[in-house]
Amino acid sequence: MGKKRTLARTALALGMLLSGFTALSSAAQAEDYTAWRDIETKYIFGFTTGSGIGLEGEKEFTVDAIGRFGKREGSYGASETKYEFEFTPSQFIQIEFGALGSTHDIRNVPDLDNRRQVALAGGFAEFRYLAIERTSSNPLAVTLGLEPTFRRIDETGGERIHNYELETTINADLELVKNRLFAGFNFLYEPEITLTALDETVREAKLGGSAALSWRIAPNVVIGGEVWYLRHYDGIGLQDFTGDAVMLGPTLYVRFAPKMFMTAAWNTQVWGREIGNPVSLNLAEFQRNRARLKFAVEF
Amino acid sequence: MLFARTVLLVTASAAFGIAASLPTAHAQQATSLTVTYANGKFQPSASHAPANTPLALTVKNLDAKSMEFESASLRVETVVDAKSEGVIKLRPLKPGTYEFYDDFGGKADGTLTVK
Repeated sequence: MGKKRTLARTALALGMLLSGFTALSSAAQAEDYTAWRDIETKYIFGFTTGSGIGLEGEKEFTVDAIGRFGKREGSYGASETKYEFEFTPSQFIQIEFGALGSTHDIRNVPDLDNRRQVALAGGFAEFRYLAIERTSSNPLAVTLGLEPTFRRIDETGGERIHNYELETTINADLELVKNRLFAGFNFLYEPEITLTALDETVREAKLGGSAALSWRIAPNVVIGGEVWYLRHYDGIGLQDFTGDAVMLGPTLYVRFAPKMFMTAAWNTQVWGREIGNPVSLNLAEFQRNRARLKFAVEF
Repeated sequence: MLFARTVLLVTASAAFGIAASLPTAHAQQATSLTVTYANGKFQPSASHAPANTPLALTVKNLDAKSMEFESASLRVETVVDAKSEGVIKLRPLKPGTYEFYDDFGGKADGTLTVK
């Protein structure tokens, strides 16, 4: 039943996306999109990050919330919000840093304590380097990212821990139709180590990749869809594979004003497996759904 | 805590690498270019520059209100106050056409063609 419901929801989301896509696209047909100004691609792909690094001298304040919902049993909702300052000191480098806030609302989920809490969860920094730049004759751009993060609250369960994570990413995007159609690709390797309240040391890693397609239907509106494939390991060396999942969903980017925009995305797990457990989906290491909502102001 | 130390080391190396790369970006002799902004328009609206050479782009604002020179492809933005000028240092550019515009609500735009 759960699998059927997930597939039905995904089909509904894709159907809505497709009809919205068609309606808005035909409304924008008459416009001369070759005259539209270039768009910053970093945030147009949802959870997938584009290659954009901003403009030299640009500063940005961002609130970026990611919610995770649904485990196999019980009621599960958790979020992590980045309160982030971002700046671009050169035409090749972008630096971000900030604090993390988290919320947990967990009831009757096996292996997790019941919990309702809001907490200051930690801090992070991110360094991004534009390795391949897009030009009018080269549609591909690639950025390398490195994001060390410290958490004092466990992302999944909400208990007190010391967690050190190093997210490494390759963010690539391709301009398929000038100013109009973009494809985004991410590669992710995310090792982490956690010291639990019981003085245990837990090592794990996530490895994955994504593909996204985004269509600029109006000068300030981009819609699209993305798919993620994620693998989980008990260990940072990728030997102890424990399960994987495929997540799929729609994305939206809206620029309200020249210096203000939002991005939203929803991903549903459509396939997954837990090694040693013959159930559908992987809800031990990943969630059934995740959502992203981000607001940014540039100055 | 080998992993935590590794994270710290990698972070410090990245920060050092970034800091070290900044002053060298424009060490080569720059070619000068000037674009004037007057009556809400860029003059010339189409400029040309040599490829693979750092550029020093002077933006002169002759209007009575400030403007913001911005370009996603050049990856720069700078506010130029009324009746003043600003100099923007550009990295050595690859051949192609780079669009720029006034981001303070103006309709003005222009191009820089690099060959």
